[in-house]
Amino acid sequence: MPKAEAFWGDSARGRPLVGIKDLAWLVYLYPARWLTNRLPLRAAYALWDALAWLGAASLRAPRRKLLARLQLAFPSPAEAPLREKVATQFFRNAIVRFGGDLLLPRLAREGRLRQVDLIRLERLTDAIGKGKGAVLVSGHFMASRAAQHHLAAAGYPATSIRNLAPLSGSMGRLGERIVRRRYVEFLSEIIGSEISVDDPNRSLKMMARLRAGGLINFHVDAAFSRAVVEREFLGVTYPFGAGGFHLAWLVGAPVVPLTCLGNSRALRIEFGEPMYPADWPDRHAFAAAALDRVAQIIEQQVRRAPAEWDLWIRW
Amino acid sequence: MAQGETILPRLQRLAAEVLELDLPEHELGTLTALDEVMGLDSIAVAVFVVAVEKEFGIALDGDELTRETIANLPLLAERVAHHLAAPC
Repeated sequence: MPKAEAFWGDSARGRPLVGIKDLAWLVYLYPARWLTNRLPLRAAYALWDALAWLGAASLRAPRRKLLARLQLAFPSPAEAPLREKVATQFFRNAIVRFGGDLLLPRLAREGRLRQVDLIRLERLTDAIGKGKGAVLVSGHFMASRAAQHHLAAAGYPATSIRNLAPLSGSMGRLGERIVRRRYVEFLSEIIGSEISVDDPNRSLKMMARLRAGGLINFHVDAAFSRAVVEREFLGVTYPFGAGGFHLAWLVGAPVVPLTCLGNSRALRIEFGEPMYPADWPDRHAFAAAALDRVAQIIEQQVRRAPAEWDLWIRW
Repeated sequence: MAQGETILPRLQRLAAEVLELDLPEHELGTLTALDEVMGLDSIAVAVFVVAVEKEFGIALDGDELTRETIANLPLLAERVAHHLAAPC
């Protein structure tokens, strides 16, 4: 079985001073952001829908990479039409999501975050009711940021564990130093409460947040922690981060799987059955069991809605 | 401070045990800064915190949960002494 490569560790060596992606990100962060926030909402959505159609048709090299990854997860010749359909829809979703990200602060400011489907919310409230906070474990889905925004608006703000170098490897050296910082600031504005994966105090901050009864959210499908565990996932051997499960066990905080589909216009958030650390004898056993469960839930969701998973071309 | 001095050896022994540091008995007393001993990862710090709380029957406050406090054993000993001295 092929092995997914580790994440995010690209070196800046060998990159140009300024790349076309740097300019694209500059356009996104300034004129596109300005325009999106001044257009009537319907016009802003229509603009991004149009950009999605155009963009999806022009991204040829990433599409080839995506198709190769999809071939691993959906290998049957009979699934070829599905792979093509997913490849097109994936890039449309990604571009619509970029537009949605620009709109999220505005929607929150104007009180226009729509009611969303919160499926099995009682699972989260039961878990929180135990008094030790809760760890929301999810995957990198297109709807993740919108979901977190909506959850906060519904009274369930979660602190995100985030990689603050999200564009590493895709920018020139100048963009790496300037544009990335602006993008990180922009994402911080959207996400609100966050802890960097590079913060040496991250586990202690998470611990303090959970002990105060708060929510922590991390995406298990990006292996930031040293406690990497490999599992078969979508046709590859895939590295998952298990550090958050270890921490949940140490604090006694329940783990609640979270899945989400859609975008800032229509969103569906579902909570899985909580897992309580006290039911396992040690943190390693708990982390293994929790990872098995969550990885299975995420893989099921990716297979149900493959164009909604954000990481196809990131490993 | 006197109580902190008796606590420090317990913290040093606990750190060596919990973090699986390969230190001979006679060198335990030199263990003061955990960061210097090993590349202490984030989860290991949390494991040590829980072990300290269990050992002394205390709960460290949120503002004490920093690497600067936890990895500095003399400072941590002072914080533990403070908790032990505080009325329940």
